[in-house]
Amino acid sequence: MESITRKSTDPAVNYFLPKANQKKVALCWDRYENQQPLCGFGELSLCCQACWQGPCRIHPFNEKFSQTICGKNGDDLVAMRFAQIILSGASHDFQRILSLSSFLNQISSKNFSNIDQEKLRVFAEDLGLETKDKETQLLMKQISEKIIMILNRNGSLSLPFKEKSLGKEVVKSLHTQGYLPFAPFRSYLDLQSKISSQVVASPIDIIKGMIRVALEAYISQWLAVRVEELLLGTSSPRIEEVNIGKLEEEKVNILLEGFIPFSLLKAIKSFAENLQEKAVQQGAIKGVKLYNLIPRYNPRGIEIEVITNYNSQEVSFLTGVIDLLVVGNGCSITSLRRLALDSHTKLFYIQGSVDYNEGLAKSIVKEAIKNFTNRRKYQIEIPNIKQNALKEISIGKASSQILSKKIQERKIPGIALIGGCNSVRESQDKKTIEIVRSLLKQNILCLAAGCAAESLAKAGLLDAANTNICCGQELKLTLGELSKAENISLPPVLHIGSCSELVRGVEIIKEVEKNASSEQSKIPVVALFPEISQPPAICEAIWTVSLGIPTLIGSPAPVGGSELVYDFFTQKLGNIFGANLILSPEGISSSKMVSKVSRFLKP
Amino acid sequence: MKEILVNLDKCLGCKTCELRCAVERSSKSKSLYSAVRENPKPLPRIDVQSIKDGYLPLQCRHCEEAPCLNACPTGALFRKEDNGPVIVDENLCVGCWMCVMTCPFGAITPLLERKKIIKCDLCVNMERPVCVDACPTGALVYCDTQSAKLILEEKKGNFIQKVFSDTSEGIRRGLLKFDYKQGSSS
Repeated sequence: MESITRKSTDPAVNYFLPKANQKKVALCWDRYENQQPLCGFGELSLCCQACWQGPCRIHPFNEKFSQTICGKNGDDLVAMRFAQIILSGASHDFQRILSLSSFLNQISSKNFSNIDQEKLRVFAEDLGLETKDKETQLLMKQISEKIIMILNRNGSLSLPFKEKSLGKEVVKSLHTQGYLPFAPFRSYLDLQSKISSQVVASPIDIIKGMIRVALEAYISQWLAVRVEELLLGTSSPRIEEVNIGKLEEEKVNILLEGFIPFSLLKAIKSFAENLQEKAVQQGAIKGVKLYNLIPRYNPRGIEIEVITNYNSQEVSFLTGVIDLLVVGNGCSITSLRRLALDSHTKLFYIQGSVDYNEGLAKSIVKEAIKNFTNRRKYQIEIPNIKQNALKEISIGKASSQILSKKIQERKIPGIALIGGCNSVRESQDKKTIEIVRSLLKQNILCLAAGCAAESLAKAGLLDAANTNICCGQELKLTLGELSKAENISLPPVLHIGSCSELVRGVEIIKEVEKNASSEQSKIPVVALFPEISQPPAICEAIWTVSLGIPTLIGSPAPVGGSELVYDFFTQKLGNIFGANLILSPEGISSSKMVSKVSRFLKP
Repeated sequence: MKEILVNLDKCLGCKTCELRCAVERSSKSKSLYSAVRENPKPLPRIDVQSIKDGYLPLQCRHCEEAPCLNACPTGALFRKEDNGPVIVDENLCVGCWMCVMTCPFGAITPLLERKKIIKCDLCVNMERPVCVDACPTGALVYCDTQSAKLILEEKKGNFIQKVFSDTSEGIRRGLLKFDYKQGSSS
């Protein structure tokens, strides 16, 4: 707690830091300080616990220690650790699509009056299904069967589906290099067993498997987003407030985090609306309100507001007004468990295997209402820190035409896709905000998702009132034209969804590319992950680069122990996918990242 | 004179001292990530060895009567002041390895390709030795002779307490039976 201003740029965090210190509540920054000095072997990824013979480590400065017991060298270990992260990141996407496919299968006997017929047919055709003269019911059944087939790879896939999901050029490059995915579970299990046993696979083989798994995660996300859109309908952009100040004392506050099957999510929401009166009886004058703690999984159409982002989740607990936290598998920080014990907040863990369950949803809401009376009045404190933000923007045909025209005329140098989380190794939100501010001045169109978008929202960059202040001249004009086309005044940065919706950004880019003239079919794009620490986001960074988008990672990446792995990502990947992954074991500063972006987007 | 003392109970054998010593004292870049790629590899002047029930960080003990000082034919090894640390002047070292042979701890490393030796110099030009700062458990202690005496006193106290509280009489009997004149157990 020595340097409060450096821990975060979020005003709500800075408000609570001295208070947490007074109350002797340890936050992630304190624990980071307590962890110092960090183990040098771990920092270089030169340690291994894959079997019970070890643990082994490799001494970077001592020849005697250059191999583990089973004979792995530093390159093997670094590749293995990287692969482990990608596996755990990809598993979130697999869980989501698996749950969706079983849900589709369950409901395929019901009636589908509320499903958009045209969308259904387009999606079915994208999957390679015949749609002529077929009923909705049959089509839904076939879609669910097709998705299960894709997951298990027990049948051949049509080329149109591959091209639709990955893009034509990408399919070609992946096919020639032998990276073509489309067998999620097989790829996953193959890599998992590869890194947990002492196989002879070379580090490059492990990285290949890792890229495959990341691409499978992309396919799963692509499918999941389409299915959810089908079931929930299209959502319209909405203005909401972000940051801790929007929590209200007079409401029963239910927080959701991580993957909660969307059918259950929907049920919780409808019960929360139905049980408002019960909450009023208990003393919560304004009823029940659902929030997402951090934007890890937040399907569009359900329209749940988000409070904050990764590093400040603990801080939101210090307000003392959170009655229930419903957690699925996601990015919730483990210390919430202890914070909940110290306050009146209750935790409810959602098993991944749970599907739609009316009783469960009802008991969750009831539990929260019951817990409202246990609040400790002396602990309640909500600073008035909030910011307006326009969220979940979709780009229609007219807008994408405007965009591709502007890019071809070089009025706009290109598009930056921004994702990522926070990392306690750097000042929270600072890097993301700095980089985006300077990109906006250079007229680069920014699309943001997940926790990174939340960082920008907290800084007011998703507020339409700041468009004239933050953007360069050309970008201002472009956003003005887009606003007319979309019939809503747009903020400097366009929010595309939660972390698990990053694929929408790729879809927008594909759409803009489609409208571009044939001579310049590839529009300049970069993907930026200024602050990144969590596996799902790291997995996303790998698939963006595999799709041919130059990708920059700002936070320190533990690849310092192996020159081979580092060089593969930063140099050799370009020959395979046409784009490199720029990362560094020491992290890349924001000014360097900005200069690299402008180099990528130059004609 | 100040010395590095080792608390063996606290050493976990993590070798963090080795890494930091190599980076801070031998590398060009002074950063772990870049030091890994340097050639020749930076070498640590401290070595954590595995002993019977634990670990022992070994570095130059800067002996009061250092055999290496007597063995060095060129005067490359010297002390700046009485009781100061034993330092090596690389310009004078000819790579005869006499010191390497005479050192009872094996704390002097020959650099074959450069034909010089490297050894711990207690980080003379720094406030504290890097290994002491790096140690996460506090097993390495940097202190002057006065504090070293205090530690000795504490050790003695602990030992006496252990002897007289031991009910199995194992240690006690062993001690009492020891014949100090003969120098062997009766």
